[in-house]
Amino acid sequence: MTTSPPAFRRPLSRRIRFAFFMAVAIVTSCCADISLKHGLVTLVFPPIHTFSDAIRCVGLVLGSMWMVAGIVLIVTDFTAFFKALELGSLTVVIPLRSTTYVLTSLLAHVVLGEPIPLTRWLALALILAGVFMVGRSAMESL
Amino acid sequence: MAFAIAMTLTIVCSVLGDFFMKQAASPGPLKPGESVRVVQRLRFAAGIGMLTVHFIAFLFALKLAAVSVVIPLMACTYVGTTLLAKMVLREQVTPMRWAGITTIMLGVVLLFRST
Repeated sequence: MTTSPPAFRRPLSRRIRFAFFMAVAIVTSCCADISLKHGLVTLVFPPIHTFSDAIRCVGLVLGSMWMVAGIVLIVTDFTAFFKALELGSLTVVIPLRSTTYVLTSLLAHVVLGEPIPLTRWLALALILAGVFMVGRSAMESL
Repeated sequence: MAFAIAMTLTIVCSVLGDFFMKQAASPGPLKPGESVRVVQRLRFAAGIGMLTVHFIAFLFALKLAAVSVVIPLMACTYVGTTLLAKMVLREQVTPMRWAGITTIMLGVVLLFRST
């Protein structure tokens, strides 16, 4: 008689892994944008005339916690995006990635206090509706 | 003219970059004698190369025109990627998915026209 392995040993279903990597890619992409924007606003770059000026700018970027966090988040986003591409089809991953527009707008509204006019709310609702339709159509292929 | 060239390069290289990345992530059936690792590395390198050209052209486009013009035009990549995936990778694109992609495109255009 064979027994199935305990739940924690079973591999996660393809759909759950895809959703996980897609969510990580979207969230890290948005956080990277916000982090880099915050870092760039707070940094003051000297004019670049010589090679040592350029090195000084790189040093400034690497010395900023926000910029380093942004770069780390971009690398995480790219890795998760690649894993999502391994599991899902291109025609699903690319449209679903547009959720970053919605999340970045909302994060910029909450964290940076940027206003969202009515037309932009309508645009965000349209993007979410499109993402929902693509997500529904992807259910059969995953 | 310079903007048209930069924008075309931005869109085409973005579509090809994502396409090569997908091919690197899941190589599919290979020809006899081909190594999976070599094929994956070559496609990954092609993808990174295309995305680098895309990024440089994107910066040029942003220098020549406003964000509210460049980003809505970038929405063309959704159609380009879908057509390439359908024709070359033989991915099935249902009418529901086309409707979703079109709605997202409209949303992106409206989002950046309202800026």
